[in-house]
Amino acid sequence: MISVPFQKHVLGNGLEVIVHRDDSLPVAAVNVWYHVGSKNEKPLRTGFAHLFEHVMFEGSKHHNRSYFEPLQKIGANLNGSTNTDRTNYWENVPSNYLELALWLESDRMGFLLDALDQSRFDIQRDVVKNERRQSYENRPYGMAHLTLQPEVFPLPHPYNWPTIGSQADLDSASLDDIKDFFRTYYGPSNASLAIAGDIDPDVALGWAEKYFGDLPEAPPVEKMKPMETSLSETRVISIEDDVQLERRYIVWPTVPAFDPREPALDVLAAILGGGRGSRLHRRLVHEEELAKDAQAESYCQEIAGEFLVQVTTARDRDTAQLAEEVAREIADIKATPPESSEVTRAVNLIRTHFVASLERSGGFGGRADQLNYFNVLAGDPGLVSSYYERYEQVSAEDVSSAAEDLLGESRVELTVVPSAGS
Amino acid sequence: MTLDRNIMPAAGPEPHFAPPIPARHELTNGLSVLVAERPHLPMVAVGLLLRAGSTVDPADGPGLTSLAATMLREGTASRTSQQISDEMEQMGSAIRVRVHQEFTLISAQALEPQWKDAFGVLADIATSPSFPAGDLERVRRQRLTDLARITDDPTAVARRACRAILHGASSAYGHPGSGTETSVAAFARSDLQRQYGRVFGPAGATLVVTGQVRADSAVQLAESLLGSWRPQDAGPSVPAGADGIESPDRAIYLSDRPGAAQSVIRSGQAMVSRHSPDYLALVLMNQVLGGEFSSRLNMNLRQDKGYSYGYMSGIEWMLGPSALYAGGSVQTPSTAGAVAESLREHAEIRGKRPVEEREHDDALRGLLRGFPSGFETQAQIASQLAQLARFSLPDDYFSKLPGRLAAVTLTEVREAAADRLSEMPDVVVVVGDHEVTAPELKDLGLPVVPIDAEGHII
Repeated sequence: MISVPFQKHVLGNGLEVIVHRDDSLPVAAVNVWYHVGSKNEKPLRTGFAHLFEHVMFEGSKHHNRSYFEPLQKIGANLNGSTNTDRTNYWENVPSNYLELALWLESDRMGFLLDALDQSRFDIQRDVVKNERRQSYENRPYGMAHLTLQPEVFPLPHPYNWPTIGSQADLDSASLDDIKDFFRTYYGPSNASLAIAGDIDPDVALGWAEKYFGDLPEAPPVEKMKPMETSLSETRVISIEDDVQLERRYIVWPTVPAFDPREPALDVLAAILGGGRGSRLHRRLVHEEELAKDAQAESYCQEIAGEFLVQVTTARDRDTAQLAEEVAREIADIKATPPESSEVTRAVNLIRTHFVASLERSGGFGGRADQLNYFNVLAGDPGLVSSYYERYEQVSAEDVSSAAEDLLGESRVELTVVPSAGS
Repeated sequence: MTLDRNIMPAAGPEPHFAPPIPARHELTNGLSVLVAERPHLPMVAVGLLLRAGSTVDPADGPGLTSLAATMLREGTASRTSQQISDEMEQMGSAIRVRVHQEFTLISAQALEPQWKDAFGVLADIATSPSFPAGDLERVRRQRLTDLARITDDPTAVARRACRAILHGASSAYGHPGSGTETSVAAFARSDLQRQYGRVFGPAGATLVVTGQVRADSAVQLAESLLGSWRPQDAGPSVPAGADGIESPDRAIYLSDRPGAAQSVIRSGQAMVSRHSPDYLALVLMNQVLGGEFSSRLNMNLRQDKGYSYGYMSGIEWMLGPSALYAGGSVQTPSTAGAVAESLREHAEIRGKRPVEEREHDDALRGLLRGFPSGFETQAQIASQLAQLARFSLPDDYFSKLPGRLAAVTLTEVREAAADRLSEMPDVVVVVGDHEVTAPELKDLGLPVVPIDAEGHII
């Protein structure tokens, strides 16, 4: 469909470097994945990977001030994100500034702790607390995700706690705690560097060697193996929120990324709840008007996966009746394979989405980020050009079997109820 | 030789970048077609920019234009609502309808083999909507629900209230573009049909097409799909000028949200039209004030004080009156402190701490060097072309822009800030816990006026 040619080299210290040339725009995209996310944290010491995502923009030994300032004045876009499995950092720079970007990235990989002091740590901890308030506590339905996660993955599963961490853990974290965490997980052999865009691959590899090649090796980090949740029944819970409409979330634990059933689960999600023509939307929002909105998503992550159905009850309608209809739709698709036109529709929607993400060389989900995704989680950046073919192979029967096998009694049902006075 | 990491690597030679200059064609009914050929990826983006938005709502019918636009996707002479969704999604695509104050944009993006069919559906909903009565009732119920639940989201409340107070709650620019519960409940099907015939049509409208497509074939297809579309009765709408905006009473308008973990702050300052000669100077001024991460507001409220996850500003440019908005979410106990700092930054950039030479240079270089990044995806390019259409800019505008931007002097930026900003913003809205925040807000020396979630003074 779309070919993303690349070269991959491993430096002496274990850093994997991937280069991909596309000169349609004079921009170079640099993307670093550290294979550390919230799953690598320990209970009562949560939120560290995400806190580093903040601290790492604040300065390092040879550039001991904000990373935004030198990058913004060259017109770069930059950001980072943290999930359960990895932290990514990226900047898209004018192509003649690639060396500058690599110099900065190597400095925070190799020399961050030399520049990290208590006040820098404290300020970013306050910023993160405000991020938590803004993204969860003060956002409608924002606490749902934080409530679901520990129910779907009871301890000791490392997907139990949220990436953002808890306010208490953030408060009790000491500078030494987080420095230890950095020494353990941010070495070159636990990272992957992708450089894409208007670059000369040989020059880019030369600079990668120049700036990253002499960073000291860190002790190897063992990859976590897939781990099933201990959830084995239907957990029914509810929380109150300052909202007008009830909302029901149903989450089933599923399978990790690259499981053979991952494509069928994505197709299932699109048939059930992706777009206005999906079953849940058509029946429940459009025809019956039981729901204000309805959607389904599959998230296969590194060591476990989740399948989510989310429906918001329409005004003056009944959540219990809506939930019955949702259950009927799930039962239907288990019993009867979908029409082939529904599978085609789903696969075409997924394909457009994928091609659209590959329009960009950088940023979240752009080519450099995708190369790192396939490299870090599957060991093969080349899957970026071929993984989508697996979706073309999904049959109607595969979709039904995925639903039958994975959307069972083992699930969490959360209802968000309008609080009194809302 | 060992590497000296203290030395920041120098830049290589400046790369070449030529922004797209679209091919232009005008259909006999007045519709302009702009095409940018970008063949490197098998995608095509299509956008139909209609010159009517919520400012052409009748005075007694807020939300009429928006509801009429929403109904476009709900049925045509030859397709039901479901058929429109199904047909698009079978092609892996979807149609979006966005109603702005000054325009309505109908857009879709599809893989190259499907783009002509996707464009066919898009043209059908634009030219032959049927406003089915049953679908209208469903859409009306959904819209009424949307209006009732705006209070769920404090950020949405702040945006809506700030705009209403800044421009006047019943003015063309300040009234609620998505309507009120009273107006939406009252619209008849014939009201929507009439508004459609009056304001939506090819006169002054522009079709933008970008991607793996040839300009001549895009024009040909546009001619066959849109060439016989009858011009709207009202012709292209002419927005009201920027003058004559009456400033609201200076106050902190506080919408109560008991127990809120944060306060959402949003200030508004009326601004000149996009056509003002000060446009580029004000763009640079905003970059320094709050347009990016390293700007004054965010460095102060986030990076120095730790009050917020982010505090930014931006100018919403209009043909009519534009507005400079600044704001963010701040922890509840820091609300008054954050308002005070935000007002201080506003006052200082127009007064005692004007834009510095270094800030001017950094903002200018950032915009110039970041310029190519705005032309990466088909959707981005389509949106750039839509800007050309919306503001009647010449086809080579983007080629000339870097040179014009580079010519804006520090003095011009300082003068624009001093001329166009008032000592304090016209309005400050806070959505947060009244009981906790009001006492300290009152100490800032401005009246604290309670408002409801719509922005009405209680």
